[in-house]
Amino acid sequence: MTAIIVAFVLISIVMIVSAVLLVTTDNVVHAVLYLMLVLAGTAGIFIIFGAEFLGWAQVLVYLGAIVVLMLFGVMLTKAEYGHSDELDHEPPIRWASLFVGLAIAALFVGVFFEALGGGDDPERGTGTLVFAIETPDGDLVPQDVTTDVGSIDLRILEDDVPEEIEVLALDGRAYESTGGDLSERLAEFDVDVPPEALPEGAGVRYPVVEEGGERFLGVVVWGADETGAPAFGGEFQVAALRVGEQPVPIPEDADFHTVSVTVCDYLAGQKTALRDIGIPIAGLPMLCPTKVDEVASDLFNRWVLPFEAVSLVLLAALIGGVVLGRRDDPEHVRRRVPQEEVVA
Amino acid sequence: MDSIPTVWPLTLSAVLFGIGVYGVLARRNAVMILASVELMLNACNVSFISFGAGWAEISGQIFAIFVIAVAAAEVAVGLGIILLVYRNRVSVDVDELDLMKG
Repeated sequence: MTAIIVAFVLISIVMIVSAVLLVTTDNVVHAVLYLMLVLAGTAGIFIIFGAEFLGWAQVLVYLGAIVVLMLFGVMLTKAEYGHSDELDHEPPIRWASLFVGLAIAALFVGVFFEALGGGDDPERGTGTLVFAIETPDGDLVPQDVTTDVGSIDLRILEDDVPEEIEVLALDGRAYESTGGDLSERLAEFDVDVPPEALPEGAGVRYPVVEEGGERFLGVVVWGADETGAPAFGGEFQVAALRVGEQPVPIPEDADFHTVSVTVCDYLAGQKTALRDIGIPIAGLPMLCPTKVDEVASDLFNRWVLPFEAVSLVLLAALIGGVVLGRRDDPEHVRRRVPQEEVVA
Repeated sequence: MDSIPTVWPLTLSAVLFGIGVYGVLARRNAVMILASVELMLNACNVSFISFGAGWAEISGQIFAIFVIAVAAAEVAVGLGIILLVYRNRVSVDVDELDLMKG
């Protein structure tokens, strides 16, 4: 039980209790305040699961705006501020509702558990990276990590760095990571390749291949120019992309500006560990992308059209709110108070 | 750091969604129904985030952003409708809105 699990369980309990109170309380204002608790808990859950940007967006949008809007709704509809018997349906309908709610929750829980299993604790393994450089002749030459030009730093973005990283060349020779300042250089460099540039099946979802008791964690895409030296930027051929010992086809026109590997340790279809391994490239300093960078880049590249569509929906809602709130009826137009009445 | 199995937050989201369904069906006050709908949308967001975290897929967060935006639009229009109903009927009891009842 680490702190994060304790936090998750506590927030979950608070959320569920608040949600139950939200749908059962007989006080409208209290109900909105319970809704606020649930929304705040959701923000906490977001942050626990690495969606910091969204967590704070949740605080801004929901806690800041929507809860206030709901309170306005409560005020403007002149709901009774104290206890009220008018909030719920009669008991038969409530029992039916309870049944429906329980059934839907049970259905979802059943589907999730059926699809994902019981959720065993992750196992740790030693990562193995496979890489090579393609020569002009088309041979795949294992890259020597000890040379200056082709030197490779393996950097682990997460805190749970494996004890040792083994770099396995195509011919089977093994290279060990230098260790030491792995984490320090992390802030200076990072490498990134958009997921869509990777060939089908590449990227974040490589299965773990188990061979001879060794588990291969991931892949490296590596490039070389005409002379065989490592080249980054511009056009170059990707030499090899492998999962464990299994080569993965790479499209001819793949143009990898930089190289990035996200290693997912899947075991029997289940995620067991998750790490990002980047390869720093000399002369190409890049800032390490933050979560916000990732969200923004995905939002404005891959999902830009849905983003525009949602903005149109928001615009339509804005116009709709104005139209709904308008009073055409001249009787309801606010009357100016005559001067004499004010004086009197 | 021990990671949390993906099914935990998914279970949480399923429970919250079920509670939201109960609220929508059992409540008679339109503002409370809207609050329950918000609860359901948030349950969906929790699923999106936990799936996104479990699969190392940033798209889960993108979808949640969309849900937040659409939920904001829904609250704005929904409250507008509720206020209009209140203005005409001086009540937000959905049982009284039976004009279309056959």
